[in-house]
Amino acid sequence: MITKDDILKLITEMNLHEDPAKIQSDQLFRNQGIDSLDVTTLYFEVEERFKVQLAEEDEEKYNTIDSMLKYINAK
Amino acid sequence: MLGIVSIGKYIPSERVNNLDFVKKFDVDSNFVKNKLGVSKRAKAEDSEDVVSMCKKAIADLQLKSAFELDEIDVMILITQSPEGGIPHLSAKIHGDLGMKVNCACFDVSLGCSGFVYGLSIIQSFMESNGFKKGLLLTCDPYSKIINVEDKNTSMLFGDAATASLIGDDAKFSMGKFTFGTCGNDWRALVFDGDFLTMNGRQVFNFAASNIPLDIKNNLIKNELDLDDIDLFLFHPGSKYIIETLQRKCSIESVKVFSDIDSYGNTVSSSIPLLLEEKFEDDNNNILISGFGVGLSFASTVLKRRIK
Repeated sequence: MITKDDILKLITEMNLHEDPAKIQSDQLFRNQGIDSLDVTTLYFEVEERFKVQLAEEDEEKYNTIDSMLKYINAK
Repeated sequence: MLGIVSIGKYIPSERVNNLDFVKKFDVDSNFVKNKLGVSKRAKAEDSEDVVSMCKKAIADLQLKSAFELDEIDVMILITQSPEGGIPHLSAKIHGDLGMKVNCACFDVSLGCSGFVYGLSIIQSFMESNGFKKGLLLTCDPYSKIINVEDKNTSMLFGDAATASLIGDDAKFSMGKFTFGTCGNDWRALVFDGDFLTMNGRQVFNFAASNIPLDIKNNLIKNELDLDDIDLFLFHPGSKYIIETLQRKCSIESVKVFSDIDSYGNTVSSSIPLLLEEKFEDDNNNILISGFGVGLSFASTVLKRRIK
């Protein structure tokens, strides 16, 4: 089971946000200072780190921390 | 031993400033400068085409390296320009320059991996036929096929042409090559007849997944370690992908050169342009790695022969 802390840890390691503690888990990544290229990298690293597939056509289903956890943990 | 003697180039003087488009595409200057790594894109004039640009690159090459066009036994053009087809564009260049009849000319349809593939092709072709001098040309003026409304592509690509002289009195010889194709992902970068379309995420994933392993395999094949490489020249798809690869391959940033800020991603010309800038520097082993449309990749190590 992947947790919010797992995702935040990854965001911190990747240096994608100046203050990961301020990331709102129900808000879009792109609306919280993580630009499109960084979001692409985040998705890639999530797939690699947690050995999951984030289908491109499903992006709307995992574009926040909450929805990402729901998407991944349902598989 | 055959290798790269010298590199000529042509980059059009006109520039399109990406900072003029930040509002249109809802990005900021930091994104343009530090993520894309392209502040300005070189743009060919409407009257310019692959043939005219390659001829200018050849003229530049002749200023740098004394050779006669009559000495050229083979001329290979790496291009995927829609201008091409029947006849092949290298034949047009040959005709315009009045080159000798017994000179082999052909085009190779590859993009960002094309220069690396091209080096292997021209080396093999020359060696198997006993040829002494050859020209490897690159030119993909993407400005002619980019949709200026497409945020994914319109801020990345620039126009240029290069001409590399291949011969015995080489400054760099080629090591062993590694090649690959991810044909399942061909839809990620396609010309649809009107415009180039690119799935940035798919191209990024392809590069991040395949290139680090290809680098590792290429070093093994060349019996080298990471520390033996003085300079890494990755195809500069964007500053972002370069930094990602550098991190994934555990390469010191000082060993990576990828500055395309003043002219953009020039597709098949990208690596030879970077190499031309570093040609006279004191690097003994330069690893070059091209990857992109296909999706295709190739790497090799260039080894300095003449000090």
